[in-house]
Amino acid sequence: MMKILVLIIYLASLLFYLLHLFFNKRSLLITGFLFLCAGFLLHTSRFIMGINSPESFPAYYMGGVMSFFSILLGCVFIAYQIKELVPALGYITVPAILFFYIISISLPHTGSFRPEFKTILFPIHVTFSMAGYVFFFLSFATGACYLLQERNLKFKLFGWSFKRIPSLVELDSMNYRTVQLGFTFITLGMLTGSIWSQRLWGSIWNWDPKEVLTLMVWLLYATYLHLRLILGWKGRKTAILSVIGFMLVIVAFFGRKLVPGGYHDYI
Amino acid sequence: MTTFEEQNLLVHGTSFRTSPLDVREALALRKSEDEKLLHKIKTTLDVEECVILSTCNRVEFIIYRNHPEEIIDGIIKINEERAGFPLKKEYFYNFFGKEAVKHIFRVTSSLDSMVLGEPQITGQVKTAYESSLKFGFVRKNLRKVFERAFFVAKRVRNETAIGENPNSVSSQAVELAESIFGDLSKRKAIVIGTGEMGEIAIKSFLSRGISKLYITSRTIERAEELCSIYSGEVLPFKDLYRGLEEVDIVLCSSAAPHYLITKNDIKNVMKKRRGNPLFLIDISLPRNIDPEVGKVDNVYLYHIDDLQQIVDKNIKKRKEEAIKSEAIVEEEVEKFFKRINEEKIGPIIARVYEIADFIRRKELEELFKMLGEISESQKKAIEDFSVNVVKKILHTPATKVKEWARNGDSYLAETFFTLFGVEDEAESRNEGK
Repeated sequence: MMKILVLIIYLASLLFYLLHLFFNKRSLLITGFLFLCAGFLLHTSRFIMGINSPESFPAYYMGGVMSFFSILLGCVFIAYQIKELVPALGYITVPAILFFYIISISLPHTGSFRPEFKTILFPIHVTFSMAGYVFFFLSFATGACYLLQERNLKFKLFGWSFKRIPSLVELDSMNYRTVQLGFTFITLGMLTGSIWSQRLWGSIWNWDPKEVLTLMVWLLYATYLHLRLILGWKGRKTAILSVIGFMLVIVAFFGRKLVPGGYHDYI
Repeated sequence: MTTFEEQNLLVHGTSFRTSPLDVREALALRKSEDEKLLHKIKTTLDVEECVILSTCNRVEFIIYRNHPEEIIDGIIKINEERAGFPLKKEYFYNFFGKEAVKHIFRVTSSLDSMVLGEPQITGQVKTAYESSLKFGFVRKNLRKVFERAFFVAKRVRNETAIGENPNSVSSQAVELAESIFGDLSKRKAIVIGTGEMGEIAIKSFLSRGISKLYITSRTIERAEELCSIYSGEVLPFKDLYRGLEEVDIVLCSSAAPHYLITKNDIKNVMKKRRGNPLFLIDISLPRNIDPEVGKVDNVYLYHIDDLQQIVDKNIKKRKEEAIKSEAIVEEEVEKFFKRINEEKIGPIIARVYEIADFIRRKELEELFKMLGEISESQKKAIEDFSVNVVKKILHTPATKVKEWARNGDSYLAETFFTLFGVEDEAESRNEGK
């Protein structure tokens, strides 16, 4: 029952964001944001109620992971919006929150997870990795907004999007900050993962397909940070990198299904 | 209690539409002249309520008094004394009653402004109103009109996009700069050349609080002069490229016959800027910045023609929004008078109820006398019954009369009151005042 209620509230939020996209009335944006907050709170309480012990942390099956991702994304997005509502970021993020929520409720909430995996390290590993992905998503969103606004300014187009996107400098610094945070979290996720693997299998690296894909993600964002710090890349180029980076994140996250075997096969 | 009388309201004024600038300048309020002038109008023309609005585009006297048409010549005379030269009658316009209310609403909503939708006028009207209020020249009649005018202005601003898009080249340039840099207060700008257009743009950027302004020109005297006015810093022309590495915004309004800044120059500059965006505005004719410069990464180049094109589109949009705004004003004027009429009718309807109640009590007294001994509860039942009968009979006519009054059907309303004998009382009351 609550599952459907959360869905309806998220849908209402998306509806108001879409109405704002067409009619550009601030009251619509605020309503959409309030619905999002309400949906987030309900969704979170439902998620937390399902956890009784570290072993019951709903991260052992795809449905739970998706739900967790949707919650973390909502949490970080809301935190960013409290200072100032940025409509353009909402147009991208709210559908994503809803999308991952729908996936989570349509997937079965049981998995074939080996019981010996269930240790306290596992939820920590998942939380860090998910947080990393959330910040990479936001860096993708800010990067996409940057590219759109840059195009507006270069080609002197002043359509619907021009006024709803923050300034280039703000977007660029937000893009940088989210990549920094995402990179930190994904690093922590990889570290906790390898400690866990060391305990279970006695080796920190197993050339598991997911490990390799995640390493590629890590390398790409490491390149981003390097280019920014050492070569002074900024603006369009780094925005493009952050968009490409998130494409790779999606591949690393779902593409794992395409390659059989490995230790992450429960997901 | 007297109510708002439509015919007592007068707007007497002159604006950019009816008089030349020197006339408006001569009539504009001097510093702290308002109190003296208000008192003068009061003593010589017997005016209790008056607001004087004075901006660079208009001077208006908004007056509420009996037979305001009688004092128009008087105001002109006072203004001739102030100006020190005779004033032609055709410089001035006079609006009465409904037209006056509409004019005040339109002015406050910036629909009568030279620059359609410019935001300052609402604040200027507010200041004028508040200063009159402070000196005791606003009573409940003008308060009603002005409070409503501010509400209408707010509605127009909220419900239409009349003030949304910049309508001058310099404010459009500022908006573009803000869409690149956000807050401009930590940004630096450089001005190349000392043309007039450049000066206007400098003012707009300074109003957004940019932190540093360099001025460079091949004639150093003129640059120094501008620097002293706008507290900028002179940058020798040979150091231009050093300046370009440091600043965020470049305003070029030089009169050079060739390009001062080329693509290669900017490419070199950008290497040293570590990817920080650079916004260039070329206000010169012919161009002083090579259009190819705009193709360099993180560089945004706008020529005055680009800006003018955007502004033209914006102005077109504003004009479309003005049509919506006029409709809002029309609607609000109607509402305003409906409310006034309703307020007027209120006390008279109350009088009808009083008369009916008086009859009811008299009849009730006689009835009780006739009935002799009856219990308290019976007495109460009969009394409640009589109250209900009067209320129910009067309810429909009273509602109808309010509706007529709202719509200005005063003839029907008067007929109703005649039937109840209220009319004579009202007349004698008015005469007594």
